[in-house]
Amino acid sequence: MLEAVNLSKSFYYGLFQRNKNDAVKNVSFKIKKGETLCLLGESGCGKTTAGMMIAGLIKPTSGMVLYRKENIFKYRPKELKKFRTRLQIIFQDPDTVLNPRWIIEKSLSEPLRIHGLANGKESRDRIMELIETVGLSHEHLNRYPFELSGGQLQRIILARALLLKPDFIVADEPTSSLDVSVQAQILTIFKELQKKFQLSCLFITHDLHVARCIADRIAVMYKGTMLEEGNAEDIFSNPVHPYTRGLLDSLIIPDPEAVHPLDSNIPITSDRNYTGCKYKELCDYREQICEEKEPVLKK
Amino acid sequence: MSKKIFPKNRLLIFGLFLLTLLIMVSLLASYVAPFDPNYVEVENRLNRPGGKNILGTDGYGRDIFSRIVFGARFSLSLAVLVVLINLCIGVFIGTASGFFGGAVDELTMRLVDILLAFPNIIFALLVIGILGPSIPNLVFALVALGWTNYARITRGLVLSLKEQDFIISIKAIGGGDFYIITRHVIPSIIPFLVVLATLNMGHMIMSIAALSFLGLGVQIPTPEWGSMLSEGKQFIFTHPHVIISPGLAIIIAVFAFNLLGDGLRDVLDPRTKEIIKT
Repeated sequence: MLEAVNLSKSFYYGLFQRNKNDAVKNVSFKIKKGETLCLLGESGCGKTTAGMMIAGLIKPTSGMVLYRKENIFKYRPKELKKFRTRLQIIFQDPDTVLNPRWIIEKSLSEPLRIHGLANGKESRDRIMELIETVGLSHEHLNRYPFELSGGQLQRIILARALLLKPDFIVADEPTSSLDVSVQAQILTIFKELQKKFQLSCLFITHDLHVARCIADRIAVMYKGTMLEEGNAEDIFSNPVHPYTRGLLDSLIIPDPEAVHPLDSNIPITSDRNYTGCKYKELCDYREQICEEKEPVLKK
Repeated sequence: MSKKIFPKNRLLIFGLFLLTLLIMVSLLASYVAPFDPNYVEVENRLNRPGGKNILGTDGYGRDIFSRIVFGARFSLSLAVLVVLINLCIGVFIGTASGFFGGAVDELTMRLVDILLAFPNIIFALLVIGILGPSIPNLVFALVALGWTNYARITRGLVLSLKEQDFIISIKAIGGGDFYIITRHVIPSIIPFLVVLATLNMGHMIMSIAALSFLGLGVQIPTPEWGSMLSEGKQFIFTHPHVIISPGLAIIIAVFAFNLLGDGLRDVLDPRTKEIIKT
């Protein structure tokens, strides 16, 4: 249904754009209908950039995103507008996603107004239906965003994303700014809705618990590249890459003897322009070849 | 909302009161003024304030109070006109260069940099010197530089706004550039622009008066505060009332706009807003 092919994005900065930062490098994956792929990785590993490219909000330096076998960056404006109804993105911080000067109802009806899909009573009915699906009531509609809590806002944003009846959702850490109890609620609603509307999803997160709860398949990213991809159970039961193993070991379980966190003494470098494997500094299995060649992910 | 906020800000109320008074006076000038502002009565020249003429008469025997009342029309409407034109040009250019960036942005901003290197009043003198003194030329001279300030501030506001999630999310929903600019960007910056324009009004009143004083703006014998000062300057030592009253009028008008601008800034500042609301 949606496919990323060798997606890369480099940012250029500095005097005369001399410095280059490969935020995402050669990332490929496929997502089938109704499936959830979880993009897992630490801060700054390029997972948000990848998500923005999938949503068509950032142009990749090279590579393409295929939606139903069509490259979304080759769309004509009309097709792009149509695509915007098929794919929705949910952002990390619900406090900033709605216009602070608009009441919730106005923000909610906005997608319908932009696409001229429904107005007046029809629009109101559809909003009401969705707002009840996400567990809120009509009294929330006349409030301003700052009058609602983060959890409530994230439900509103879920409702807004579903208003256009999309079949694909890019969720960029939708729960990471919420506290744990609310996270669970939102994830439960998210899963229910996903089943109900047959949604495919690219779920971006750094949280292993969240990934375990929501993912069908998991792709692990590190410093802009994809290290490992596979079924969620396989990744959790039998991680192949040492980084994935380290990540899983760092899951906090109630046994102090069993914890082997990743070595946190090595700083996350923004310099991605060295040769060889990106993980070599942290890796227990380092060999001579790691210094020379960058490994390629094989299917 | 407004009911809760306004009583807390006495200066704003006072500024609003002064301004309303000025606007009422200028609108109803023909009812408020006791005499024809241009009626010359030579036998009554340079009367002291009090008596028949509240603020006295000037060198030609014209009633100063009536002239100040009619002068409010010119001073205020010209300042409003100039500020509105500046605002429109500045917001248009500032939004375009902030939102779209690229070559347009570079070009306009360098032009702004160059224009900002000229002192306002000197540049206006130059323009009027070339084009000749008249009211349209006065407006043009003040607009030629005046828009730059608005353009620059608008651009800054738009730049920070367009990176915000709520603008990006509307893009993701499918809203076009024009939709985003007219429905989200401009409404969000209007409060800032209102404050800026209000504070700028005082400045414009001063500039117009200054240019008229130099004989480059509103021409004698039209009643205007700056030209009244100019006409009265020969009596400054013998009959100071001729020059004090229009001077005070200018001060009061500028003061009113500054009070209003400061008050509005406090009210519209999101930080103080939150405190007042809760």
